[in-house]
Amino acid sequence: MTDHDILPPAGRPGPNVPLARPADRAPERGHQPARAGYGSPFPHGGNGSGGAAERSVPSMNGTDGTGVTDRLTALVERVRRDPGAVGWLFPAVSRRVGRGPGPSGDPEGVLGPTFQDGARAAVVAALRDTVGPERFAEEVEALYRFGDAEEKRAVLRSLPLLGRGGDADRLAAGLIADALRGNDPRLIAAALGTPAAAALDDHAWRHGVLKCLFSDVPLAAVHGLAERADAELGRMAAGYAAEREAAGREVPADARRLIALSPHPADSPGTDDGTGAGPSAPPTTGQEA
Amino acid sequence: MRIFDPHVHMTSRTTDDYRRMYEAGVRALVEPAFWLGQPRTNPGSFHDYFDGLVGWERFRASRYGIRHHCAIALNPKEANDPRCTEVLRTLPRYLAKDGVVAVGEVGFDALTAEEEKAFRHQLALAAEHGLPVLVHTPHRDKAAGTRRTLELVAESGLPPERVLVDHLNETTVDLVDGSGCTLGFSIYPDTKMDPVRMVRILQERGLERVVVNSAADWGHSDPLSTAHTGEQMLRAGFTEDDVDRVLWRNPVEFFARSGRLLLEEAVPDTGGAFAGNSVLRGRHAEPDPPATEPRED
Repeated sequence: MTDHDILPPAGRPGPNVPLARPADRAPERGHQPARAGYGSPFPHGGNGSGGAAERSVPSMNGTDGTGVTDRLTALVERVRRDPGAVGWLFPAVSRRVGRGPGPSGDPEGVLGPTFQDGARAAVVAALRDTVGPERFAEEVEALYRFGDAEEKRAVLRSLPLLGRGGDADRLAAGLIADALRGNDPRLIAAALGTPAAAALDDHAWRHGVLKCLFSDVPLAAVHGLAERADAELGRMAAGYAAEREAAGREVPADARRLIALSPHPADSPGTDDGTGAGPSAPPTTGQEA
Repeated sequence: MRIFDPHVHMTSRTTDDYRRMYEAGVRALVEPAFWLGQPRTNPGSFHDYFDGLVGWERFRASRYGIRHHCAIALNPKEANDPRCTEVLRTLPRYLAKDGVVAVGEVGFDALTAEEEKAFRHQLALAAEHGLPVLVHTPHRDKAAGTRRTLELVAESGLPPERVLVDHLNETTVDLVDGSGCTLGFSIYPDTKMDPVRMVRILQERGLERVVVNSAADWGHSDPLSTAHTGEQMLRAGFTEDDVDRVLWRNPVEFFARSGRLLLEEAVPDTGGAFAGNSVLRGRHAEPDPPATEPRED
């Protein structure tokens, strides 16, 4: 995957992208509140005020008739000029640039990045191009750590920007594992919907995929499922299906798909019966399965 | 009856409460950050709590058809603990988020110098971030705490209507009314207001700049007390429109000053843009019955 795959198409925000919300409330003019001396919230160059400097940027709020692309460009330029501001610019991306479904058409971002995910990826890419690799990794980790669900999803969708290799893989795997521990389908989907999930070991990846079945995340959201599904995953999915059937519950189509996708282990009962049918095939003997 | 509860601590409530609130007409709420009953011992404990307010709790509410917003702050009680005040350094990260519609709860608990310092600091943060403020008034020495609150608000330069002074009663309503601040009343058994007394205040003072909340939390409280107040208003001769003004339009007007209300997203999603995913569509939409909890963990 290249940057191009996760960044919004230049100059073509798509017909479904709404304009940003009404402008954030303007600051109180002529009023500069005294600080109580608690210091900077940001480790790298932020002055902790967040206010005056941010608002000196030319309007990105849509009230002046600027388009989505102009507003995103201005935001990206702002991050390039002052990467220390990313801590409060990143959360504000939707309000300043816009929000809506991305190419997948899914506004929840389960089936693919939303428009605002792409805009946030552009911010992350600007950060990468502006600061050193060590600080870039620290900032990405902090954006995730302090992110709400929308921001966390955007960081997960941006993980390919970290590149590959030891440190990048460790960071990506750590953030993905965090998302998979939770129960938010948007984050589970984004954690497995990125090529960066290659950094997960097989055990963690299989459990993530199985968790999709428990969390109403469609398997269509999982990146590279057909290539990575293995016999062990098929065994786990078959166990899930058996448990559902034993309880008299419906087996979701995605579970059957997973069983069908996964190569069948040579020693698995049901694969050496000469029919070539796997565990998901209908019984050929007329017996109840 | 549609209800916007401007102060309710859902973290301390169950999913049954979400169901009953939805049935009673609650469609949106604000959960201010507060003391959890058990003292925290470090800033990380606050960060996890704030993450819950902008993350899991918002998601949980959406599953029951309720739009969840929050207010973020270091609460007055824990502003006295030097192990906790460091959290003020990370507040700007949270104050920049969508759905964070105010700074709060701030204010006084025991009227200490430490509380005043944190209060001032957070009033300044509200000015910088263009956010409204939700102020808790103390249980002990309430009138003195409320007077000092109004002095600090005036010094801050914030427009008074952008400051909601909460937990008012018969003894503090006139003081706050004169300041121009928004007036908050908590309908909370035993210690705060009840529906009958609330209606009496509305009859005497009028509906302008008044919001009513349940302040329901881990104590003896009732997340339906907003609905009970609406019913009491109708019994006392107020119109449906009057009830709508107090229970919906007034709080919406107050928090809309943040520019961060998420209400427009709560309209039913009937578009075709979600084709291919039959799972999440309509989960936020009103016509659907509240969904069940996630099955895992």
